[in-house]
Amino acid sequence: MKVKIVVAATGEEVIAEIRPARLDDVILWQRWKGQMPAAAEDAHWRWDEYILLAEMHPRELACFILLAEGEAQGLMLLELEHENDLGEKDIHGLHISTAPWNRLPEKRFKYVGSLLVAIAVKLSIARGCEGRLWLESLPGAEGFYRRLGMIELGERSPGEGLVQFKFDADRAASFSRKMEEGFLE
Amino acid sequence: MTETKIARNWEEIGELEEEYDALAGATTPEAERTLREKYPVSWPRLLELKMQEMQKLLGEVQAMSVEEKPADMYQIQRKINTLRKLAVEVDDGLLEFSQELLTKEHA
Repeated sequence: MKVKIVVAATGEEVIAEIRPARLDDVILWQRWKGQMPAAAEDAHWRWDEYILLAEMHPRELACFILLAEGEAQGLMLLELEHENDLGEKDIHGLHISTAPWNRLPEKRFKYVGSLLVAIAVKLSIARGCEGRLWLESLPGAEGFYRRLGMIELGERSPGEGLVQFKFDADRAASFSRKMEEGFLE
Repeated sequence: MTETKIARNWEEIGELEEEYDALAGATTPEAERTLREKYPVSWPRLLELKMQEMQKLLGEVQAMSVEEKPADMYQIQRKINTLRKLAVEVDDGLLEFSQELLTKEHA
């Protein structure tokens, strides 16, 4: 699916693509690893294994990649069989990550994170979950998910204590409308 | 308590992206273990994948080496470093695969 992202420094629009990740995309993730600060909270995430897991468990997992300029700009692993706090079927954003150069303070491209979330919402709708989405935010992203319009859960994630967010059907629909401009097809 | 200002449109979502990172997901070793227990990985398939990566990288290094462009030297060195890391990962994977087989045998 063709989407547009924006160069943060200049405002220039760049055509990008979001699609299910393939095994040969691992090579693109390998290019992240060299640039990933050791202190990054997700430095140990193994996207080579997540892509493989999604390939091996296609009914339960899906992995998406956002590509532009020949590089992986973002990756997302989704759990397709999940229930929210109300017992409603939704989709669980297991891991959402952006390329090291798309993080503060550098931030080459804008909209990588929000487009990945938008694709998860589209998939949720396609699977009959009305856009419902669940995720655990890392501390530096809480404001992002809160201000995207996700609902902050009172209860933190077990163990790690991350703030949990969800989209219900109404919030997901509202978010999707705002993101329409980013989808070129 | 401060009121949360939800982005109202595409432009304001872009402003959010300039202000925050978008990382999500558990980061603890326990969470990784739970993920792999719930969705087990096939070691032979994982190792096959890594071997494919190595073959692809090696092909790229060979092709770049033939042309001998000085400007490519940095990229060649980066690819070789990635190859070395992959070789270590394959070795680790084989060891883990072997231990898993031994555990099954003794179970």
